[in-house]
Amino acid sequence: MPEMDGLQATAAIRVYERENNLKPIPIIAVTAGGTNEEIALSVGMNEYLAKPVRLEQLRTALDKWLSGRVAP
Amino acid sequence: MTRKRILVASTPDGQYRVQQALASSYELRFASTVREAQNLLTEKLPEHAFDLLICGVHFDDSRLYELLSFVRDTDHLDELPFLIIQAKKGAIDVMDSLKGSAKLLGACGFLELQNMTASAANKALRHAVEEAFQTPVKEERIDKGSD
Repeated sequence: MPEMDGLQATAAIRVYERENNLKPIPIIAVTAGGTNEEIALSVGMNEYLAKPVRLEQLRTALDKWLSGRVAP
Repeated sequence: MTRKRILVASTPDGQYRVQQALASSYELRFASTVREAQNLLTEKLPEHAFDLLICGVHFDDSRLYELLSFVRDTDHLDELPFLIIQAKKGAIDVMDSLKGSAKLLGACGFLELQNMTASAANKALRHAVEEAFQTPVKEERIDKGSD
């Protein structure tokens, strides 16, 4: 992303949610390297998928984090 | 004179570093899990209140954000300043990004201790803590010398 990367975007989103009393949206890291799982989770991401992402992995993650959520 | 109280929520590496640097000047309490930290932070006696939270990036299986959320969502803790440390051995090639994230989350400082010598880490920690106590809450503090 041009202005901030995924870690910083996550931190910014989490602060925005807190300041506006919003329900936290699930955030899944999809990364080719650099960021490791521990770092991703530490700033507020919910899940970490390393590239290449297999369809089954993605499906499992989406099922895990989207189940029970209702579209606005 | 009452010494300022600091809660250190970190892995053993981080706890050791902080103990070495700050134990002679501050009253330190240590937590290895979010639950331990929450229990210490919510003790009711006024003399048990903390003046600063030092939290490690890898604390309790990377539950740093969970602890910070608890602090910010708890009435009497919502202005507690916090300093983030990275003490676990090993290179992290997203350190600049992590530092930027710490700033966005409201940290008053971010210290990369893992590659410092013991004396450099002690000096950096003492300096960062002194800065945290000298700067008013909610002011942008991370750019004022925590490097």
